[in-house]
Amino acid sequence: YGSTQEVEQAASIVKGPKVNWDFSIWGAPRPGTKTIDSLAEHVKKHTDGNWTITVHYGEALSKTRENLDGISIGAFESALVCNFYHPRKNPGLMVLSLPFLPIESWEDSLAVREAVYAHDQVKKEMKRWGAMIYSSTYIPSYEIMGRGKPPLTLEDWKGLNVRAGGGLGDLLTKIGAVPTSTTATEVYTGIQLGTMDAAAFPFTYAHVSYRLHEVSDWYTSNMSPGTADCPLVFSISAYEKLPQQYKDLLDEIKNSIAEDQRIAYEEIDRVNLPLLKENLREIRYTEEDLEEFRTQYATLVIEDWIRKNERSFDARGLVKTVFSAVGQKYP
Amino acid sequence: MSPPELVHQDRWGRVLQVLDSVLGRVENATNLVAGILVFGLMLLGVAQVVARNLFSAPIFGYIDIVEVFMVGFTILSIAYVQRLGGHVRMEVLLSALKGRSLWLCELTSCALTSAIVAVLIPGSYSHFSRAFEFGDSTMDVELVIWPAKLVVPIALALLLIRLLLQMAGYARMLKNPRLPRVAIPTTGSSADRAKEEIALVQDTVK
Amino acid sequence: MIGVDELTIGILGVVLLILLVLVGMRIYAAAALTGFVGLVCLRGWDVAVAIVGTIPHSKTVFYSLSVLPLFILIGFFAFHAGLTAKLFETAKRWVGWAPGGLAVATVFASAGFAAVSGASTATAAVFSRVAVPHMSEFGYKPRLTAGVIAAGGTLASLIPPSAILVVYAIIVEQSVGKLLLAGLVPGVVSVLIYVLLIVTMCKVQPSLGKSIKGFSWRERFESIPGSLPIVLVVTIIFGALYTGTATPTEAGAVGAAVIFVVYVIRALRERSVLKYAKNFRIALMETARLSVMIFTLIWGVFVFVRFLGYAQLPMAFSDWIVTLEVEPIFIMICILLAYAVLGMFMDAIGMLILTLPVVFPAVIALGYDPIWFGVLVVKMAEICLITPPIGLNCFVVAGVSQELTSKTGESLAIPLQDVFRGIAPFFVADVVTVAFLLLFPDIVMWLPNTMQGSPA
Ligand code: NA
Ligand code: NA
Repeated sequence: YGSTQEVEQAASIVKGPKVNWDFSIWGAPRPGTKTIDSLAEHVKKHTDGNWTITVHYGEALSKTRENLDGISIGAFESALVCNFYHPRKNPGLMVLSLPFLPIESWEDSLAVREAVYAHDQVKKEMKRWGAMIYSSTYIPSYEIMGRGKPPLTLEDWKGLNVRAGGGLGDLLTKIGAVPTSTTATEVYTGIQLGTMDAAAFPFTYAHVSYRLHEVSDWYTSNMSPGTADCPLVFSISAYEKLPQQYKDLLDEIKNSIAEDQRIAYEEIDRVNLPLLKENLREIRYTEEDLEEFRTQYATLVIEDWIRKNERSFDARGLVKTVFSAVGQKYP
Repeated sequence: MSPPELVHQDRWGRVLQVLDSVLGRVENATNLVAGILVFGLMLLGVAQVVARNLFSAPIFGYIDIVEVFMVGFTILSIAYVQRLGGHVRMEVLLSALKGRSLWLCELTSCALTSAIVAVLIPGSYSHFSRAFEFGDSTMDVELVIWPAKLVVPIALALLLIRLLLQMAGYARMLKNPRLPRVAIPTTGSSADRAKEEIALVQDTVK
Repeated sequence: MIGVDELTIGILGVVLLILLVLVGMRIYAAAALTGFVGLVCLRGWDVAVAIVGTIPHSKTVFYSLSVLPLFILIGFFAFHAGLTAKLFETAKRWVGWAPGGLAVATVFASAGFAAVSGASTATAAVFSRVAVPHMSEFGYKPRLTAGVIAAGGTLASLIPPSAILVVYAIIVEQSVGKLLLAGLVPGVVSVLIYVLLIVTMCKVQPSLGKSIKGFSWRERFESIPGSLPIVLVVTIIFGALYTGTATPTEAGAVGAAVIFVVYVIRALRERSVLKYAKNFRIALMETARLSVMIFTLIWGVFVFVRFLGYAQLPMAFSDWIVTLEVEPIFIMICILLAYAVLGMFMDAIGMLILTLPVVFPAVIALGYDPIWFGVLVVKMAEICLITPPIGLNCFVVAGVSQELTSKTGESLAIPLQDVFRGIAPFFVADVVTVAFLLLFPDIVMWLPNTMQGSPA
């Protein structure tokens, strides 16, 4: 894709009516929300302030788990939505929470997510809420950080209490770990006191922002057992009301927004990785271990998920879509 | 006390009294359910602490369970509290009013309250119906949420009925301030609230 | 510009809300109505209806709020289990020797009961019944008696568990555990200042109340087991909060369960299961009533807050406060005074829920610590329970005393004006406490900062 500058020049002439959108999101601005701020900035700049997107942080417009409801009722035009907060609101999108999807690079992440968004089931379930997905926030792969005896082999996971949910939780159950549920903010104390042994979060930024590294002894760095998906969604009716040149603008700036997000993650990793390496034990599994993990356990979890959802939609098709997006074939 | 002939002619008051006591029973039941749910929350919490600390096997989905059931003690008995005049308000002005002006003020504020509750019922019903039709669940163990969301419009509907009854009660007092009070809470002055607190303790501490 | 219009609508909304609250509309309804009208102005009828409809469920139903009913439940179980009289007896035997010994004992017993109860008024009611007859028997001046009971009751909201601190924590999105811990030391400081006050007053004017001497060490130690359940609950709740081994909800659950066991044991011992079963039902009903009252207030006000969010008023207000060219401490004192005035006419929790959404961002913008401010505000709200014209604790003490008679059958009634006169020195003591907290924020912050899992 073109450089940021090219896009700017091409788009800097967009003229159009005054439009104001509200964007609903929880928490404070953070590395993972760069996409949103970047979208708001680009839109404002390229329309010369005629189209503004006001980002309301801190659940000011809606509870985290009700952002799709807010879109549905027209409470705001755009919002961040995380699939794992409400699995049954977006059953198809949950495919991105399955373990060991073939996402090994930033490009894979882009390709897989775009393919999933383009899938009929995901479009359909978003449409029920009057919503459409514009862009992902490209949550990095999860890794697990914990305290105590490091799980150097798959055997070692037996009996460990790990905070993890969704497909990842199921996967850990398969290798004998015990998934726990707690609010993210309680994980720090939980690990410190030993009420849980480890926690899975997007690597590296979430671990460090919850300060887990302060109380942990080890972390996995190449397990990449899964991810999650938190896309930016728009209200379909609000989108339809935009003049064509604004819609075009959205398409044009999409790549540079993703690029801004990539840089934000990279910057935070540049700070975090040395910090983790220096203070904690890094666990890297051998290719054979990972292969065993994938073939023996991950497939089980994926098949479980397919079986659970097959009756309501083409779950297998979705999984196949994910693999074919990066030129692989799901067995 | 009002003169007996007044009570005798007070057919409206008798009807209100019957309605009040029927609705009152329903409200009492909702509040008892709420209380029992709090007790259940206590037992669940103890179970969770024991399971986690003694057996290292926390109840998976504990938070989900609490969040689904807590609607029972956040809103279910809202009409019960309204009947007792237990919802917080500022009494400075009201305590200065007497007779018709007091009842007019109460009637107006009751009417405004009914108006907003009447708006909240369809709103919360649509919140429920989205969860029911499009799907909604808790995070970890994917419990369905729509039954909990349905509790809200039901509780608010009960509240609306209670409010209409109180409006009738206030209208009756407005018409004839000498009648005995029926279907309306005590004015809720600080002195009254102190009395309630005292009544509560009376039985227990000697 | 659109922005200006939205802000104007926001300000009009605040004015309308103040009017409706002043004329005595229930606060939940006044706030929800105003918020709805505002949302209709900003977003149209249909959207406004849908938005307000989501709030009663989504703003009350989350895990951290579930601690509230459990804290309330502990208090009801504790007084139905008759733990108060035992606490008073223990306190009397241990500290009765001090000048104004029974008054000092009342303060300590109130503090002890505060550690299992979050309800100020209930504490005052219970101790009126327990302490008034005793103190009258020993010739204590009614004014001192009334003052110490009404003031002692206010400790319940500072010393954890405290419903009002939980509500504060939830509204301003701070750690519930930290806030609860933060209330402890200020609570203890209040206790010490009260004790100092009583001892000084009784030294200067011994006729106010005499010391109660002559308890042997044996008698002292014999009185301890009756108070042990409270010590156990305090240990559990503090241990859990301080170390983080359990969430506040879990700690509340275990605490309530312990007191419940004491309650059951007492019922079996007295062989009056029926009476205890009835009281159990009352405890559940009252817990539910108070919980629903608080939760209703929360969602009602959040309808209004949602409207403010669209109007972006809190942001504008805090931006404005920051541009004021006065010392932050001056603004802080003004805010506290405003709370003192408001609290004269309003319930403490209602006052907090109603004002915090606008006041809190401004306080943070001024650079104050959210935990510290929470404790300070709660202390202010408690002071309002003992000030005229609507000092609820004073009404309670006066009311309970009406029904009490001495052993010889004389009425022990303390007239309301005497209660208010008796409370005056305690009011001064509270003002001193607030000044202390203002000048030495560490009194508040020390404990939560040493807590496990808090940032270095
Ligand atoms: Na307390
Ligand atoms: Na007052």
